[in-house]
Amino acid sequence: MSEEIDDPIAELIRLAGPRPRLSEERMARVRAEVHEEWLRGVRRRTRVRWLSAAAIAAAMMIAAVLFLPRERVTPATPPAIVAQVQAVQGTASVALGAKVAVGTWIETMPGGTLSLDWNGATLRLDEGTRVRLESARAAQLERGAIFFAGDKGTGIVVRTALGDVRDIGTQFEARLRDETLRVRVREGRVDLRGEIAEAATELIADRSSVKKQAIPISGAEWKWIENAAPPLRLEGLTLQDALARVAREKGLRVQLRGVDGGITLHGNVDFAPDEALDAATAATASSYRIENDTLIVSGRPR
Amino acid sequence: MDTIEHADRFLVARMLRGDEAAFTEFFDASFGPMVRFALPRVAGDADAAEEIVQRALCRAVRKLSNYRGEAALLTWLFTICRHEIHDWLEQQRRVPPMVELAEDLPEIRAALDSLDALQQKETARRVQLILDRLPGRYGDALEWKYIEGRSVAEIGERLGIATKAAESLLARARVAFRDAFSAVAGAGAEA
Repeated sequence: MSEEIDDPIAELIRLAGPRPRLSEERMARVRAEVHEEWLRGVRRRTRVRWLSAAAIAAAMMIAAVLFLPRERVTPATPPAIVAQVQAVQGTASVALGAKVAVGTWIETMPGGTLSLDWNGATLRLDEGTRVRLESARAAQLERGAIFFAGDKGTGIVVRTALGDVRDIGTQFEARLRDETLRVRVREGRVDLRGEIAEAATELIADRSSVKKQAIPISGAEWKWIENAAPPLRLEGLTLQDALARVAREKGLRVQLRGVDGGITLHGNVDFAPDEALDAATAATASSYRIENDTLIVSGRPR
Repeated sequence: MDTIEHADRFLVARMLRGDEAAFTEFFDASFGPMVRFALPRVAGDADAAEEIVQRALCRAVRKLSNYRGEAALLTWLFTICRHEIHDWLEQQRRVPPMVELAEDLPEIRAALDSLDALQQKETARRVQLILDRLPGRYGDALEWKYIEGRSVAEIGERLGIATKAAESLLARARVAFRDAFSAVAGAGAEA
């Protein structure tokens, strides 16, 4: 019975034929333009919203100070500050230098990245990420990707809908997307649902399984972390220290060949890691190359 | 229709928050129908349709916060597109060969009803319009099934849903198409 009723529908749609379309190339062109326009609007609205929120918050604080009866004001314990913003690229929900209290949700928009000093360790957010700092040692990742770099034994936990990522002194990235959690370990170890991943391995988890495989610890997939890094100032650093910082951002080891690592560098300019590397090697008349995850810096023959 | 407008409002709210997936959903659902809205109004000129749809969509995303959900999002977009077509024709300083369509001028439509070939052509266009205006990806699913001859599993794959869910989506799409076509054809068609 249903077939008899539905057949004329199929026939009618067939008779009408395919709907006219523009080429994929034209569609891609229009999409890029409209997407750019949309992003501009999102950025503008986000800026306005935060400014408004800040203005309202300031007004409320002034009103509270001026009008609340003194005897009713009970000193409340402010939430503990556990992080501070070190660098912001693009649009994010917190500004450069802002102090972040326990319980705060932090968000980056498309194209935006963020770097935080989280209780002495580094926490970076890739674009489109939403994270809540639950304490000095625990964060909740709702979506997107974070990168954590801390000293051995920090023991932080990143909670996600697909399991908790427990750091055992490490540098790792946790990326939550489409019901899949991917944890890539650059240094040290992490534990996810009882599976341990060591340096240069990754864990890919869904609701039912956790798989482990080998990965490179530097290269294009890690580039966003370097891009989100706070600026590096060379003033007063030794060449060795400066190279160590750059190499850490890139996931590389350092090897000096015929160059004095103790040379002190000068300059009050803020550099991105690549620029700092160029400046430091130029200032010490050395050159560098990258081979097998190693940054090799050599002295130039005089 | 209330459900569609509620879904549209939700989609717009997500876009206003900067949700990339919402933008993709918006673009994928609106680009094709807007092209098909513009094309016949500029005598099938693909360059003009591309320019007009781009302008209309850019204007729409700039004015997203003005969308109140009083009409379906696609209807709102068509209104913007109609203005852009008008502006484009003004800029070109030319009279379009066939800008006014049957649905724009019902009295002409009635006069054409007796002509079989034209009637068939117009019916085909109506079917295509209905496919464009069905909610969600119903129009695409029906076209893939009956014109491209795709299997339910392939349709599910394209939509990123399970075969069972695709089967149920197709059934809902057919009901929606039948209801919409009956409404457009009017009481006379049912009699």
